Amino acid sequence: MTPKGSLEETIPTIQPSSLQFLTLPTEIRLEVFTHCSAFTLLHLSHSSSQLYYEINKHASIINRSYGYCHSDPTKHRNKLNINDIARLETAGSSEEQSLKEWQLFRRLYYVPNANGLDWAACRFCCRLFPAQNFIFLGLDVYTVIAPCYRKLLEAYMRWNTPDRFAVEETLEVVEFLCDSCLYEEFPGLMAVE
Amino acid sequence: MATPSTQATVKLQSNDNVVIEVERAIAERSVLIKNMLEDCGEVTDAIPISNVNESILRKVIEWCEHHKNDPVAAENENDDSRKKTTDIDEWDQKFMNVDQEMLFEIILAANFLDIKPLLDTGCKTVANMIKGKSPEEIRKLFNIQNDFTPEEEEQIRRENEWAEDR
Repeated sequence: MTPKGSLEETIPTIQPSSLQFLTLPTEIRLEVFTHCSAFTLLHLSHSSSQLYYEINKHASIINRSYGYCHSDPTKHRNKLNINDIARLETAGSSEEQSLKEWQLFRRLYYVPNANGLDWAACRFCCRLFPAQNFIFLGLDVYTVIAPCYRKLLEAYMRWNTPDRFAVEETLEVVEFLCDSCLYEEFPGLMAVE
Repeated sequence: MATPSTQATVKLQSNDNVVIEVERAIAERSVLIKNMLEDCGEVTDAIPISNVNESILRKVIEWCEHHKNDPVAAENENDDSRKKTTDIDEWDQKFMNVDQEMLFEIILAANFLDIKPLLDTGCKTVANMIKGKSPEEIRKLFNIQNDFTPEEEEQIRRENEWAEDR
């Protein structure tokens, strides 16, 4: 036992360099990767060259990750890229948790430009789908719409909906819905198609 | 094989020489300790846990106490299903609400002691920390240097251009 007031007690021991994610044994990091969705693995792989090579080296982990869909199965798999992501993860113990990937997608990929937005993520099922059209509502520019949104607006014209904006608010339709989620939410739309 | 022991408690010794006495059933959440006890029968000396210090060992024991009545999953049982969700129960979330270094220490201890559910919970916690973060935010989270060369960054940018016919 160290006597009180001794040198050993008063001088703090120099700690070895603190434990960090990149200094964990590889087997532990691989275990973490198995709990990540494809979308999360993609961004993790872009954070450092070590993680880029480590993740892309383990095709079996990528192949089994949630939301992964090889963009071109006929070709040899390239590095994990955004085109391999079919849907975002919605699992989570709270709404905040379950929307994390969707919110990141909005932050990083929701960049409308003159050519429109290439892809959107459904607010409900988090499937990624092409978003090709712009729509103008009065003076507001709803920058980009997904096909399902366009169908919804077309349906408004024929559907007996007195307050279009009230429905939009309920649906949070500006957040994009894919067709299947749209119909599930508003089965009446099927009838007006 | 040694005669099965009926001893109620076992002593565990951390790598900083602190001896902690715990119920055998709790200690046996660790497959490493369970196998050791089955092989050795009655163990009166403290079992050295050479890779784990006192504070982490106490934390691991706390987890084992809380989960002592959990059913023990068969080896490789439902291996796929456990990967599909990063949901963590509320008690475990609070338990894992520690600083990053301690979280990694718990994960390493769980790996060393072969406590698969604790290892899973720790790794899920780390996966949840990463989820929803951009590469830059991940670097900040884990204190990672961006060591990509401009050429590599350009290559990654090209790889991630949206394909029209994906």
